[in-house]
Amino acid sequence: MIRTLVAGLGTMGRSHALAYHRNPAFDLVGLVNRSMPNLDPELDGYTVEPDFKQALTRLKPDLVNISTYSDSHADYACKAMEAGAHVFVEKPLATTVADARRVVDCAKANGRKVVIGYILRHHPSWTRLISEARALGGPFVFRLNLNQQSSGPTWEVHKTLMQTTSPIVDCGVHYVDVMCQITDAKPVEVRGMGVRLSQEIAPDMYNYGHFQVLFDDGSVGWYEAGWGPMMSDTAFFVKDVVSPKGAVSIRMPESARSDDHDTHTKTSTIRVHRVGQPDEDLSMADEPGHQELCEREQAYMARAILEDIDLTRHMEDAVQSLAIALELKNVTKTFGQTEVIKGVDLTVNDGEFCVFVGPSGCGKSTLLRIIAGLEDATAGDILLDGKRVNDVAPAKRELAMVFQSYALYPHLTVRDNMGLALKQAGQSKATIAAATDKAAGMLSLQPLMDRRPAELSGGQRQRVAIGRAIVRKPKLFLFDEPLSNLDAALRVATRIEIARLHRDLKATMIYVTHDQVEAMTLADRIVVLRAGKVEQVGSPMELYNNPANTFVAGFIGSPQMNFLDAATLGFLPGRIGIRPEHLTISRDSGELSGQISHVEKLGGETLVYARHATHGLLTVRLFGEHDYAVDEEVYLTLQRDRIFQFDADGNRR
Amino acid sequence: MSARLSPARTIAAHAVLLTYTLIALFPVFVIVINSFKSRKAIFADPLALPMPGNFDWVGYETVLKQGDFFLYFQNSLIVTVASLFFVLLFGAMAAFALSEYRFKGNTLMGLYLALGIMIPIRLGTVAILEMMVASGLVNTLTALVLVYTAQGLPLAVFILAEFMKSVSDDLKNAGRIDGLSEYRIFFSLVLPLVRPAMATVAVFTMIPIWNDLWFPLILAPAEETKTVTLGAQVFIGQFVTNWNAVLAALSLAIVPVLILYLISSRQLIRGITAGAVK
Amino acid sequence: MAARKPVRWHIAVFLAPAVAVYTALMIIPLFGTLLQSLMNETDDGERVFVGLQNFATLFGDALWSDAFWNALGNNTWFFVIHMLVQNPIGIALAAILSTPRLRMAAFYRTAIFIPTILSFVIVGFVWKLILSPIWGIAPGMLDAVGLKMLFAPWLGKEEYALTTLALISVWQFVGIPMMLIYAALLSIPDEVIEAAEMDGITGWSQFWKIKLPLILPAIGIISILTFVGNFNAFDLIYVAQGALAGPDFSTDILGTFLYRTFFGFQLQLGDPYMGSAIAGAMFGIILLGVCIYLFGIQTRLRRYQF
Repeated sequence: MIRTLVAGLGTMGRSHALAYHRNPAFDLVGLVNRSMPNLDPELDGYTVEPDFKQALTRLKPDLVNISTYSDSHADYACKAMEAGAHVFVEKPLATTVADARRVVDCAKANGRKVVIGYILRHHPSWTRLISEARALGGPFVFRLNLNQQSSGPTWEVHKTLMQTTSPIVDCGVHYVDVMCQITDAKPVEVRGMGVRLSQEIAPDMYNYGHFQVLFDDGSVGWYEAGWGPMMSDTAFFVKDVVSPKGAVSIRMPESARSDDHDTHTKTSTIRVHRVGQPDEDLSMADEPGHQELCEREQAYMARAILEDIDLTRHMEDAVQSLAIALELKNVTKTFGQTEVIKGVDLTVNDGEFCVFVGPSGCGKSTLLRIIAGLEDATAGDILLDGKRVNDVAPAKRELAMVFQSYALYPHLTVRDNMGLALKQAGQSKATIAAATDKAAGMLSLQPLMDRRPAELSGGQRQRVAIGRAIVRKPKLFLFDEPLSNLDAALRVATRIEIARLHRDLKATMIYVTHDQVEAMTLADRIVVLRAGKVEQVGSPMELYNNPANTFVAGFIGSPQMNFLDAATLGFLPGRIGIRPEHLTISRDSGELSGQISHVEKLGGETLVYARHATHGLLTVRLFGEHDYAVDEEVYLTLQRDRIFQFDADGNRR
Repeated sequence: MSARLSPARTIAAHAVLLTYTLIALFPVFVIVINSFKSRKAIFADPLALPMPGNFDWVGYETVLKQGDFFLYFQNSLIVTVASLFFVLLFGAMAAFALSEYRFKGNTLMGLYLALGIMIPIRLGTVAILEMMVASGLVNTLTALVLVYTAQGLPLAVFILAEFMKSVSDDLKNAGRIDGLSEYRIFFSLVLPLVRPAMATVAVFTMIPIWNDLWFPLILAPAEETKTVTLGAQVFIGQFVTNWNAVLAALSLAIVPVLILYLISSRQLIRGITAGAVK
Repeated sequence: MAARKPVRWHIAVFLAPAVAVYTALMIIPLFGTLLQSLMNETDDGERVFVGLQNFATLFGDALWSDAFWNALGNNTWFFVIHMLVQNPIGIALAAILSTPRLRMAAFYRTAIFIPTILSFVIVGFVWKLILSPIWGIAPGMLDAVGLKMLFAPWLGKEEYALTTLALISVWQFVGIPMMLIYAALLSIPDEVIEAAEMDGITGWSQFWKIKLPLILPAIGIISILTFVGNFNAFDLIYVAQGALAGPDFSTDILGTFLYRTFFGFQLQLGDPYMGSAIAGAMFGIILLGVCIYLFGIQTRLRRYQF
């Protein structure tokens, strides 16, 4: 039995704890968290203690699971290994290469195992489905769902999840991604809808949803997800891809129950049906849920310890992924007397998708152009892969840029536009042709290769501009508001395409936009800029859930966060912020009374604007359709655990 | 734009441009400095600057006494200003009609008017002279104004029509909804908005008129209708040895057109960018 | 059908003055001239239609045709010099001027265009002065750099005079191609140039591979403007060499030939019919050039929307 200590009980930590609890190879000896979280009922009986060091010395575990905030990963891991424990650490291994290197060296010195958690790596089942479906050829019909008739503890878990995430959102992105990987085509339209089937969840949440995706090769896809005791057991787990030549499906035995994890992990198969041929059943690795993936990760951890698996490569990959692609040190830019960039410090890791966002005039494009070398920094250093490049010409910086206006060479064909940089660099014709053809394939540009830019639509030009960047195999991609000249539908499709490219190319990308939706959907990390200064850096959810000040709080999230006077509500003087989705509305009673001044019905959601005597206009976001009328008196209630407090200067308390 | 221009390249660029600027300005410089020098000094050292030792007004005195230079100036000014006025007014009106309204023969009319850009009016001189003789307009400024108006119109219509296409339709329609007549829309909404283009057209129209020698020589060579260009040409013939006077006359002839050019040179490049090349 | 649209009189009002003046003073005289070139006068002063006889005389009768072919040849040489010297210099100056962040660019641009605004009278006179062997700014300057033996009275020698005048004309008009090309270069969007910078296409290769193809339409326009201007030239030769286009007609071009024919010179009387025929020939030459440009060249030049 491996004596295991879990540090950090966020979503990942709790799932890992459950995995250890369920796996007989482990003996879960302790849980560490600074506060008391809600634990899964299965974990009742374990105690949670606040101090990691004390727990380490007292419990002497064989394995420490580190699921804390990423800035403490390196320190905790080293302490654990020095105390003689193996380490499982959630991605990322550390926040800097140096720290990651320190952890790896420590592991080698102490002869300990370090496994870095990254649940997507443990995803064997889809690979097979995707490759079988691709072999059949498009256009495709995708029929996918994941309904769970949950009751008792499973329903409790689902309800906890639904405090933040609806079922359709939970895995929806993943399923669209699967569809994209099968077709290679661009999604051109997504239609989604949901319904609330239970009174036990928040009024603005829905526990059933489905969406349809239309692709530009004619493929259509559908995905649904529903959680709760009311869900049907019929066809609850459809994984079905139909093409002209046949179909690929994941088969479930009739007896399977929708909320029973064991049944579908053990008994499912992939059936390949080819027209005119007998069906072929492939024994299939399962479609694991989040918890199962964690369990599988921990099973691997156990094997690594017990069988002494060599993890050198695994650790090197983790270090490599932290390598800093770009570093800005106190970069300043002045035009005449005006300082447009006021001392920006920033690091961007290898393979990261970093988005600069801010209102117009905040300096985000200037910063991008300084990185590109199209503008000089007035002061400060720009480092690419650790080398100072302030005085290096743009072309020598090994980066590529996609411009807002596309900036294609009007006199050259698509092929020549994409190949010009390589030709200039003296590459052979064969190399150029291979590179351009490959990029054209990735972007479905093959039929357009001999056209000139004037003969292309806006979306096509944008793809050529991206292709021109890909061909150069740059270390760093720079995007300067690339979607702002496209219409709304094309913008969504291109956004998905850029996200897919980022996954496929594993390249570092820096993306400038003023649109917070683009920032939220694309970024690994968002840099919020205002008036030439960095306001906050963090993952989309960090910025959403933990904004540093009123500016970030107001900029991230749409519709905008409500700000109310704090003192009158019994808080410390200053302001408090609450997002429109965290205000509840009622006709009968509530904390604040107000009069509705405007109602916007968007179909999937309804926005109610109510005027309060002291706090002004407050926005309430409701899911689904609601019949509120202008001038109606209503009561609003703030979800206490969703309130952000700000001081008089607008900084977060 | 890249800031990474090497200093060597910048210096080379300045060297080339400065050299050419000197070549361009040198002859003008020679005329002007020598017009202020005594006859002896002009011959002794043509490149010396006018200084107390060699300074002399005599050339200007001769010009102002001898020739009818004020009259020539007046003629040139009248002809140029009047032609310019008609070119701009008629040109803008026609350009508005062509760019604003869709009517039968619009394109054909545009081509008809554009013909004059490519075919020089001088080729019709023979017939123009006959016409002027027949109508008794020979040796009048009216003849010159008429010819120059016709000469300037094609390019004016072409450039102004390009500009007027860029005036917002919404603005004009707003005017119509407010009850403005088409004439009011043209004069009070569109004309003020194309003022930069008018300046470009004015420069393009004015320079050839001011400098023209052909039509004054043929249509209005009389003493009382001579333009300054023709006057200077004749003056050179008469005073071929009085270099002080000739140089002073030439300096005086340069001044007006130079002032106008310097005022409007910024408009000129804007106008070319927006109209002529596209 | 609904009621007829009211007649839009304002269109006619807007068009009328321009069309009237233009037609009366440009189109009618042009056709009048062409018509007159088909006429001649009998000894008793009666106008008669003679068909193409004037043209036959012009092209075939040695008395006329020698002068005509001489003028046409000179005119062609005049044009060739402009194409080979004026336009390349203009393009080069514009390319240098459009260097980003070049200080004093506006000053250079303004200064280099100044000769263009000067009258031919001034230009002709000042260059005569500078090149004069008597006054001698040019010999003096050549002497200063030890190259005095290169000096010749260029305007006075048959073999040099036409080329010298063409170069003077180049000096005067180089501002026009410079301005037009400069404007065309400015209209290339910054982002395209920046994309080229990112692609490693800089300096000369940027000019050849990106900018030049994009300004070809402007170069086309300049060529045809140069053509029309050159085959219509008169003033510079007239003010520098007089109507006789000396020495010994070596600088005679179609414009001066037309002037002499029409108005007469020295002892010969003016001949409006032969003058019209020369104008007609010039019209034909210019029309031919314009047509070659419009249908043969312009259609092949791609124009780009940025």
